[in-house]
Amino acid sequence: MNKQELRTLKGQLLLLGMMFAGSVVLAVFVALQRGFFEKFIEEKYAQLPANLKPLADAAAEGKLDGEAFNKLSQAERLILYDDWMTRPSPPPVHTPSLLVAVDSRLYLARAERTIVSGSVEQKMRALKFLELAGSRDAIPILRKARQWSIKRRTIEMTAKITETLERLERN
Amino acid sequence: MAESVHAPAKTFTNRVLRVLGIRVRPFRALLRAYVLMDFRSQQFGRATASKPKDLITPLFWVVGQYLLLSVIACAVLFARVDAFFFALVNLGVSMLVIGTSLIVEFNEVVLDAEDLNVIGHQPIPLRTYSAARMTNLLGYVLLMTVALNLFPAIMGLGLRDTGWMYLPAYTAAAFLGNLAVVGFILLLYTTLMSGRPGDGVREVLAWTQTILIMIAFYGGQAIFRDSQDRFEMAAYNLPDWIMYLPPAWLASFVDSTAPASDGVKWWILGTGVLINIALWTLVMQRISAAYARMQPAGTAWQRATMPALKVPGRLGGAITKLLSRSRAESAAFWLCSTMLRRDHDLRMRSWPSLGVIIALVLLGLFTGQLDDPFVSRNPATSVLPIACLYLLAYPLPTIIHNLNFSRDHAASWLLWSAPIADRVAFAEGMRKAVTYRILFPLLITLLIIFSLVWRDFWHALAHVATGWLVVVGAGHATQMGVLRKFPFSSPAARGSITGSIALFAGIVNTTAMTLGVVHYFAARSLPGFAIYFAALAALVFVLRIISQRVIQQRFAAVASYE
Repeated sequence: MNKQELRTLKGQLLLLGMMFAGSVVLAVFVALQRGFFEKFIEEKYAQLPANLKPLADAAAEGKLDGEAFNKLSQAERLILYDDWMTRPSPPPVHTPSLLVAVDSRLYLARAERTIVSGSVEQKMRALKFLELAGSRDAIPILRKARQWSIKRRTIEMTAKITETLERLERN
Repeated sequence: MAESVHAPAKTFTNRVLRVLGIRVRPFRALLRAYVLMDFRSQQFGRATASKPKDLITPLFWVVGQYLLLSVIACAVLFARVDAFFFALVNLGVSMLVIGTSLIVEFNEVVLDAEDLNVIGHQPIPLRTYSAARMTNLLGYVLLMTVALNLFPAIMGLGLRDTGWMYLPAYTAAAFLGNLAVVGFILLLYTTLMSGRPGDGVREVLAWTQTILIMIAFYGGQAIFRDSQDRFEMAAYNLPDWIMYLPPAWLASFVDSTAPASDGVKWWILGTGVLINIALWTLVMQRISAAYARMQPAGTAWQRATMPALKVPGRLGGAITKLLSRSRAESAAFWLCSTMLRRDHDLRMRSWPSLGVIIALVLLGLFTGQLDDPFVSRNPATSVLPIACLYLLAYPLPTIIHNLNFSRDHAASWLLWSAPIADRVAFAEGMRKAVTYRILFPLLITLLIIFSLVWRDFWHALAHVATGWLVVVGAGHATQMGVLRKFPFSSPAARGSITGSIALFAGIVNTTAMTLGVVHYFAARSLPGFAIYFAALAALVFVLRIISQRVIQQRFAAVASYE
């Protein structure tokens, strides 16, 4: 088909058809690549600055200097969560309960964010955080996350949320 | 006679048409002509700078643009959000765009008074004409709906929470939604308003689509870079009022077809179908009545004359006098200002180049990335306000170059024969018309926005003053690189509108962006910024002197031929 023929009505409809056919192929290809797209869904955590290290280490040992903590900005407080999330397994058991005790709204919301937009490993670690925090305020968060997870058919995640939820409800 | 107008009822379609009382041959001829006219669409031709006889026609660009918009939206949402939010955003975008598209293309697809001048003397019954028009309209809606929803309909199948039912459910929802929007707009215009949208509304909406694509493109990047995952959290914690919006009802139906849902909400689909039937029954009646009311020489509802010009002999008012230094400068300033105000084609070619700046400002406002570069050291939040200022250089080559073209280019002999001795002043008047009429108001808007967001007027003023230097500098550079003849003296030929200055515009933009990087680092200290500001002012001054010399030499050569 030459340029002249492409300029006719039939030619133009053919061009449109070709564009749609190409789009269908591309759309099918992308739809089959969910795993590839999911690889990019993960949280990035800030590194712990030297001035916060003593506080983070003390929290890991079950001691938190309340006065020093109260002087921290919101961003600095969140770095303590980031530090806990990036510590090698098993993570310190005391930190979550101490952090949630001093600023429950901030840390529960932060953990909820990880459950929504973190990678699978990060989500599991966030659930561990909520479990170790032992706060009953985490129950509605987990119930909502469970519904969301069931709907999204993330079976392993749903099982872990259910387990965490049961433990919290039992306490 | 009956045989000549009725094609033999051999095919099923022909039989249906005859049963409906529609004459087959005129119907087919009209429909073919309308499809051809769709490809040559005037409004989008202006917006996409393509000509009716280009190999890639305006309609083709529009379909491509819609596919691009939907693929960007899907790429941003895919795997990040659940099926409900995925369907909600895509259906919402589709309904918004089809609505703006219909208003922009109203003449071409719904009601064109020129039809009567062309086919009024032909023996075409009203019913046949109405049927051809409505079929063409529905074909147009079908084409645009496919372009806007092809990617979400297929890519949605790859989401975690969807099953095979998603594809037919989403397709049905998209068609229901778009048909309802189109029906509602048609009813609104044929019942309550003047019968057709005004030029201003159509212009703004054509531009809205361009901005929407830019927001999708830049917004997508912002989502990928947002360390606080605000988008994902917004999708997770949707506000209750969302459920009052029609796209949310349709998305709820689509979502209910998921394997893990409690049951398919067929009632939403059924209600949607009934609403569409009722709406379109009314629309058919109103549109047929509008066709019946069409008058010969039906341009009667269009404005017969352009707005009155100022009194002859007085070039512009106080603003022109204030901004220009000589009569030649005043003449160019007045001419370009007037054409920018009156010439619809020129505005449609020029405005989209401003879209990127507006899109970035909106993006910065909504994502909290408009921090004061004097205060914030976080590049993620302080680069955007600087980029907004330096992107002001981007529209200048395009708009000043566009001033070369006009439909009425044949009248440019007036300029060639006019006693314009000082060509430098004339070129300066052109530059000032673009900078003061278009970019200066934009800078003032940026000053207000930055002052409010940063709560520091002086910081905002210092940055915007730098933006003004960028605008003036880019203007002088464009005078050197683009101005070669009197304005409005060339026809807008294929490829000449953007092709010939693409390289020059690229150089101007790259230079501006490089300066933007220097600005970012200079803003870290007050002395550093002062030095940078002084250096930029010196650069602009040098550009001004060079551009004056270049224009003098260029037009001295031209004058020797005259």
